Amino acid sequence: MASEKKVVFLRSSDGEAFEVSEEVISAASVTIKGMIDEESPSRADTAATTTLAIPNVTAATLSRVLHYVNKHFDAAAVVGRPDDYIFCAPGDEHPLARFDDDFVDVDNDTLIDLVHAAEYLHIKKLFDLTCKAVADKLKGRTIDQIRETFGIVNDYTVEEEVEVYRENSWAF
Amino acid sequence: MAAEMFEEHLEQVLFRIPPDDSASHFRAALVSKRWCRLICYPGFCCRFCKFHGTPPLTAFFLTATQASITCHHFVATIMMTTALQSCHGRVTDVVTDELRKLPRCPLPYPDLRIVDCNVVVLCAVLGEGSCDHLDYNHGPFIHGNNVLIRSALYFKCHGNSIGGPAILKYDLPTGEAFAVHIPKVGILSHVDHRYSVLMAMEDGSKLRFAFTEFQSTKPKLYLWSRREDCPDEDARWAQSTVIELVDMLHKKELTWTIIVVAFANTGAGVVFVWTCGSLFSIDLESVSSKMLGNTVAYMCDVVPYMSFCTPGTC
Repeated sequence: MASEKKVVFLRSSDGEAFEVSEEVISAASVTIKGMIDEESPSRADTAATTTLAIPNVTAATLSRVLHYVNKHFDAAAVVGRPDDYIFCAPGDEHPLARFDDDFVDVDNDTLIDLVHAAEYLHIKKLFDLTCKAVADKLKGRTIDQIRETFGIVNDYTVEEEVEVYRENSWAF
Repeated sequence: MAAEMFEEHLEQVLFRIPPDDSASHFRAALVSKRWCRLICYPGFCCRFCKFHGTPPLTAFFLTATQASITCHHFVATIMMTTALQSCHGRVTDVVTDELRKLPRCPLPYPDLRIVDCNVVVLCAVLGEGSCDHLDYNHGPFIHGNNVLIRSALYFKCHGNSIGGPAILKYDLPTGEAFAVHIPKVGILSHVDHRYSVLMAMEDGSKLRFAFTEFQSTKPKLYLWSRREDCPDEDARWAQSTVIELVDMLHKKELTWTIIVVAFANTGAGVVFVWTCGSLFSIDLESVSSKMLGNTVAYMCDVVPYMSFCTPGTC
């Protein structure tokens, strides 16, 4: 059926396949759009659906990414204006602001996996959102708390540390 | 064990720390040597400046005169006192290196008097798109009483032949000067140079004019913007914003005169006003005010200083 929407399957690094509308994922991800365009000639007029391997993204992360993509790009794709929320009156809070807040309210590992996935899949809005969420985690934290949050080993020697603290005492 | 971030992702994360939160950058630099290298590398500051566009208001110079005594202050507005003090030498350098004496202005009316205009700091590179004014050595510097839009300088001025306060437009390429009328509203019989300030649009494309009412129990701050391309002179000015100052400055009432002191072209703009013996800044983007300090002298002059400040650049 010509009117039926085309779907593609995305296979995560751990082998799980996810179904997503071709139109929606093409609007969201530059990387996947490129993969679909490359595949197109070989699948013209065939009933077979395409499965694309996404080797850098696990199933857990990919399902989250697709949840975001369906929320952000589905309605917008219909009117063809991906960044314009026509249902939003001027002055209203962004209709998806609450969704975005909840979406990034996850543990650090999950969040950093999302940053990697957003960059790999080239989804700019998601990359901005997740990077901002990581930056917010740095805000108002002490150096030790930042190291703990991001699992970083302190490689300053005691002398070096004393010196930089002395020079920048106003920042603590 | 938390996942380690790739360097380019970490940089993107650090870009998203607000430019007025320098303390977070300094703390991040001390997390590990790898983070420090990333933040202190000169390229980082460059890319950080490009990411954010307009720099935040980090400090201002205050000159206050009272009983013939003039005091000069350098006041930091964000939590970075030490960093800025160490920047102070550079600030002074900016002034001495960049100060240009303007040629004598050809006044269109002989009795015209330019108000409070003694210095203008111009970036040596004039012309659209040739300088982003973000570089430290060409630090964006705007005097509160004159404004550069495209290639014309605007000054507040006074003159009997033009009927009181007006604006003088000095076209830099041609060296010609014109008088520009201030917006026409009923209240303008009260507009005085002390109660108004010239401003530029965020992108430097339009002239804006801000003034306060001073004979009112509920004074307001009015903002107007000007379209040069409109053929009808009277229709060029359009009122853009009105701010109730009693609410904005968190006062029960305002019995003191309110003086608009200066304007900083950062974000949607910051207006400095003086009232009740204190200096306030009003951020037009967040529509919020901040009390900056007390100064009894209302004859104060404020020069905002805006810059990016990341570790390794001060």
